[in-house]
Amino acid sequence: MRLTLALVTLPLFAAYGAYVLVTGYLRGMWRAGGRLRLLALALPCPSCGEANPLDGRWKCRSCSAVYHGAVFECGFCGAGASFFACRRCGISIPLRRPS
Amino acid sequence: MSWLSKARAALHGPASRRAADGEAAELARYADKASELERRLREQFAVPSAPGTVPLGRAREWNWEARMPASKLAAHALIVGPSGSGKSYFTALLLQGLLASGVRSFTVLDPKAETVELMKAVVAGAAARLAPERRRQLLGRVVLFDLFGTRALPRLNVLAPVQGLDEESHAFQIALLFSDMSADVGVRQEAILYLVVLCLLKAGLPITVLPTALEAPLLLERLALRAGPADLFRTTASRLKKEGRERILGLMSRAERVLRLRATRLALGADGCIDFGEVLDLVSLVNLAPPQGAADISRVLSGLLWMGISHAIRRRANGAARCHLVIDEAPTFLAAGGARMADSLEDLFRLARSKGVNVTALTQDLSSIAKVSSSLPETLRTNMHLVALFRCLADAQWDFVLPVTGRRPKAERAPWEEARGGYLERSAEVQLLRGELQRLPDRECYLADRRTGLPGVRLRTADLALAATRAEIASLEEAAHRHPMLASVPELERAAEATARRVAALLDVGDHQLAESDRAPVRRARGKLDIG
Repeated sequence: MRLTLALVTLPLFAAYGAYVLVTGYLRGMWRAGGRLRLLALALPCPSCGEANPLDGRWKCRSCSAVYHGAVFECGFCGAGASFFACRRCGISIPLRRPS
Repeated sequence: MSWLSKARAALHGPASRRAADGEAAELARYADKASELERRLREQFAVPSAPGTVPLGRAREWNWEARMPASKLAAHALIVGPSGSGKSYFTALLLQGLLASGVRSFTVLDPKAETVELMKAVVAGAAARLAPERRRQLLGRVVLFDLFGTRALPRLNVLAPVQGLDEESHAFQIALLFSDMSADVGVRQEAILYLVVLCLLKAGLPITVLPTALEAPLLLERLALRAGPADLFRTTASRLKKEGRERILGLMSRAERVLRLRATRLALGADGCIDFGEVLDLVSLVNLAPPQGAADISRVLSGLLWMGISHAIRRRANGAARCHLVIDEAPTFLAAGGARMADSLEDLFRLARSKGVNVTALTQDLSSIAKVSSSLPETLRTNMHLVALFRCLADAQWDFVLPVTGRRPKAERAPWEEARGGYLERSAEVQLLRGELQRLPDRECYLADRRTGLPGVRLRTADLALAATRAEIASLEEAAHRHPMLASVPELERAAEATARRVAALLDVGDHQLAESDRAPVRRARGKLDIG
């Protein structure tokens, strides 16, 4: 009985496992793609198209430090920002893709 | 550090260095904006030292020597600042520069005698530096009009014919000046005054005869028997007789008030009038400072002078040789002729430059000018090419002079305040500069040349080279008093006596020939004549 149950559910588990692996991979790729965008020096504003440099003088909202560096990672506490304002139109530019 | 930061550092180098470099580039871009303004101001106000350039002072903000070509000073200028802030000094500096660059035609109208005194020293100093022949030439061009002096006075018979001015309009202007002395002159009194002045003008008599003509209408009747328009003389005489005694007495008292000083009587009773066109072409220093209690006379004389000068300016040919007209204490001067004179000044500003006359007006503020004419301050701001603002109440009207660079740092923060950095916004910077304008120390000003479209530059005015000795100034005064445009007091006394004799001869009628009503006025008029 137990064997029969195992034989019946195994393909289901396998299918689910395959599903989890595939979606996880795709999600990972999607998010990695979002992170890879940050390898560039500037991000275009989704509204006005202004190229906003990622490196500059920033103030960390977590530790209040003012630092010279990349916007997505505080040089002091390592906290990551999820968005920053376009320097031309002020709209928020996302730094991470939603999971 | 995350893998992303490591990857970016590997790809592009450290982010912090890149950020710092970007910020420095941004700051440099702003710095370029500020230095661009400085560069353009420097081009305008800091030409290299050379003959024909006039030193103005030192730019406080950028620490360079400010200097302009004399040719650029051939412009209308407005100098604003309170008493003692350095307006006259700066004007003397400009005129000294113009003298040094060969300009030999300027007129200074000074109701306080202060600028004239300064200018005497400046001209004497300039003359002392010249070769003997050129010094003689310069001193020969200097004429000192001291309207209340005791040595020599200008011939100011304002009823002498003026070329290009018809007699009616001439008489009208003179009558207006006398009736503007006080606000309570009625319309009928104005009309009588005009008629009598016109009669005197047509008869070739000076304005000093005005009280006599008002007192004794017989004078006009007798003039009708001699020459000139007999109808006008008779009509005026009969109108005078018909008018109420009080009205005529009111006019007489005003005329006598203007003529109560001997110097004024002598100048106005001269046998001719100076050519104001020639006055503009010389180095003319006009001292209008009245003795104690004679401010009203000074006002009328200012009005008469202005009338002559403005007519001379209108008469000049377009593109005539450049001359400079400096009006110290412009509101005091304008108050003499009231709103009418202010209106004529407005017209003149529009006209003067094409006639080769550059007007420099000095004033403590524009609000005192607005009292005379509400539109004149705007005309001054618009038409004046050079504007020098000494310490003065700053409002939006002077913002065009303030050098807004966008590079003035915000104030240092206090330890308990939130961090702030960078530069002041435009509006905050304008407020800051307005505050500075109100607190400028003496001899510092903002100088702007409106022709360039640039704001002003803050200057500490240069030092005047007042090297003339007392002897040199005395010799200048001696030469200026001997100028052919001036007449000695004995000469003027002779002219006044000749006029008095002429009037006495006209009134010399036996009592039996006079109507009853004429006898007393004629006796009074004869008694007042200054003969012998």
